[in-house]
Amino acid sequence: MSFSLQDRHFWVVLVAGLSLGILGVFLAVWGNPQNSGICVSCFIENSSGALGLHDNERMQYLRPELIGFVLGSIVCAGVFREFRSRGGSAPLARLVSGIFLIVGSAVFIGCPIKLFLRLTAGDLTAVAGVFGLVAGVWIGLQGLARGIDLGRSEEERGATGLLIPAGFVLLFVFLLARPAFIIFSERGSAAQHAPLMVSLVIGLLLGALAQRSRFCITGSVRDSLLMGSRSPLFWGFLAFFLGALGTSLVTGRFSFGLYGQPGAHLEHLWSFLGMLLVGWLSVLIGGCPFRQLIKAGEGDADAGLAVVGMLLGGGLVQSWDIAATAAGVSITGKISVLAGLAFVLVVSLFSRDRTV
Amino acid sequence: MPRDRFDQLMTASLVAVVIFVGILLAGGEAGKDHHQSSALDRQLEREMLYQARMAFIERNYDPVMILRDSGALQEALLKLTELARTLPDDAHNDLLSGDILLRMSQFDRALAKLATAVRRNADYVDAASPLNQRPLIESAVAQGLPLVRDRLRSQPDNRTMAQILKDGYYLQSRLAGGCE
Repeated sequence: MSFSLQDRHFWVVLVAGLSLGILGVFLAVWGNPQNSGICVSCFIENSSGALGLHDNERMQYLRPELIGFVLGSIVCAGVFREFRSRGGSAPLARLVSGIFLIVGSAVFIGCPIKLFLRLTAGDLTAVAGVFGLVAGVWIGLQGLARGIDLGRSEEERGATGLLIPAGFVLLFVFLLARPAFIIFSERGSAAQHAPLMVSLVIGLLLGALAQRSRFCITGSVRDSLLMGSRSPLFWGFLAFFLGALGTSLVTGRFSFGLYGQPGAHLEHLWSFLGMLLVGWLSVLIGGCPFRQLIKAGEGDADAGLAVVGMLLGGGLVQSWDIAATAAGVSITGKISVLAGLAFVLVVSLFSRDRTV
Repeated sequence: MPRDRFDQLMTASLVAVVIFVGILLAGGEAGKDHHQSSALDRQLEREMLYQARMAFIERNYDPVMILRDSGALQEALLKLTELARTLPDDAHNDLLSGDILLRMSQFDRALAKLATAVRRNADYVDAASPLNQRPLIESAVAQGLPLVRDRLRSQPDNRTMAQILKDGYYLQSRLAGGCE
């Protein structure tokens, strides 16, 4: 270990990982869909639907957890004086990356957090996704080592960093006031949710912890590949994994097997490629969908654009039948993942500093 | 903080805009808005469409259900074939076919029909839906899946049975819940 056990940051990372694992399972116990206690991509698809960006009447709900993540992050960043408006690093590339983050997740059926929640609930179909995510992160790291860089973000004047948090405050108002143009499903997985205040408070807590700790799944995989057990994120990830596994076992949610798993399909190649796309993009833009929300809360306008892209992606994957279901992956889903891989390859080719 | 007249003008305008929005909201203008009511209409339309679908099912498939309940299973299947000519690709036809085939102990065909029904309309596995048919589908999976597995073990090249096994796993996965 290159850090000491007296290191406060190590313990914050450990608590963040453990909380994410335990509460991720408990949110499903309290009403969220099975194995989807926390799934940023599913929640984004639900929220896009609630905003009218798609018309799947089974996938429309303004998920309070997402609002909590961003607002928890901004409050924590404000309290610890870490809020800083910054941006200007390849904004359009980040916007499109946000769309493809959701495409990859939708084809796998879940973001990296849900990937491990599924695995720790005994779902063996997630194994292909784990290989894909690790491969994607590894390829992304190879690219970074060879000079691929979207450019540095700069401190920005004005309040650009406040725009995304302000947008989420507006969503919070919509959630409470429920104006008629916000749509809430009465059937389907979007109609399954934990009580609003429980989801919101857990979202706030996890948002604050993730802001303090910088914990995210792809970040943990990245640091583990680079530094192994010397990285605090490695231990945070281990705490997350064991916390989720233990809670799944204790709450009777553990069902070991390949077949008949909730919200899973058997097209392993596409699970692999979907998560490979997510892992690769996450390294390129500095974090998985969850981390983008947290960074947007810290005033990072670039991450904010990725979040906007994610919301657009949430609408597109449902409207264009890209999202996979238990029946499998549609042809548009397969083509979209390949389009995402083509996008990340083109960005890599054109964003490379060959003097490195 | 405002430093010059321009800043003061901008700040005052911002306050005026916020007050204006407040007045619109407090005066209930938002509730009278045409777009607001069209959003409500859309929700109402959605609900009406759902109710109409329920009434449609009842009207068209009532004779089949009467035959089924009286034990005339072959006649009920014939009636469904007849209905499929006028209402092709209707999920409820597949569901009732699956139900009847299950009663006839034709587990493999029942699984295939039920999987088609759920693919067309996920409400059949939704506990919150009035169309919920979870007990029927659970029973088909519990009885049918082991038999299909056994048959496939003895005839590993049977492609139809392999497809039905996939259908069974699909139903199992949908019954388990999760995101759609």
